[in-house]
Amino acid sequence: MVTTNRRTRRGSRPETYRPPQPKWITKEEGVELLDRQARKYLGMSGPEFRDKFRSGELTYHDHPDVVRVAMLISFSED
Amino acid sequence: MSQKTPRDAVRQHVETLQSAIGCITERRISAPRWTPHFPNTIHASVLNENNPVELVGERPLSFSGGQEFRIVQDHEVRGTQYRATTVQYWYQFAIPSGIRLLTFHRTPEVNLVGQRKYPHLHVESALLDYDGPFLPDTFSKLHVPTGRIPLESIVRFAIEELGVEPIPNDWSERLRVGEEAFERRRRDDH
Repeated sequence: MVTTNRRTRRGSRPETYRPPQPKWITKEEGVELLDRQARKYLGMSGPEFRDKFRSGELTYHDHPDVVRVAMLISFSED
Repeated sequence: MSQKTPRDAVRQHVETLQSAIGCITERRISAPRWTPHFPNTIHASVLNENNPVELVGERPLSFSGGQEFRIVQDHEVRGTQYRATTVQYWYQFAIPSGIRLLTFHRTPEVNLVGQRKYPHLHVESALLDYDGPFLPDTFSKLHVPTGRIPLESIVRFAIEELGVEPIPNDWSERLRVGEEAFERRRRDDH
């Protein structure tokens, strides 16, 4: 049986490998992204989520799905 | 590494995050292009437009994550230079069907009642023994304290402990460079 030592495991790409460039998105794309993710994970629109989060209205604001979506608020506003 | 302008510091920090996550996925990190590039403004970045990324490895696993960071003046160098400091983060491992396994949080600037400001870990229900003797139904809601963790260490954990297949041959060296830079910044921030 062949075993691999995880600590010395080598990847498939050479040392010259470069990861892709980051994606710089527009404000319009950011607004859409917040709305899409708020609906997907929390069942509400992006603006509704932002208002409820900021006002402390959400009683479960430390829930992983809330933190996930909250990270997008700054994508949607100046 | 410090940069001459806040804009350069933003770009450099996001590219550093991309380099770290690039050790386990070729998905891109997104960041807003319009955010004002002034000192002390907060910027955000998320992986794969905030959608989970399936990882290749010994077992089915996905990863999600995002980070907010602030551009600050670097007082350790001569002249006016800028660098990024992490404000908040969340990193999550799940199985591809969406069931959460581990969630790392740091949200020290969220001022809501009951918010835990210290870095913490949620051990999610899927990892708990429901017949266990201690808080089997509610342990996943607890906030297990951690230190402030760089993305590089999360990626290293994925490779070394969770069996995720690395992409570049020199993944360990790439992550080590980032981890050491994080340690230097952490000392500067305190």
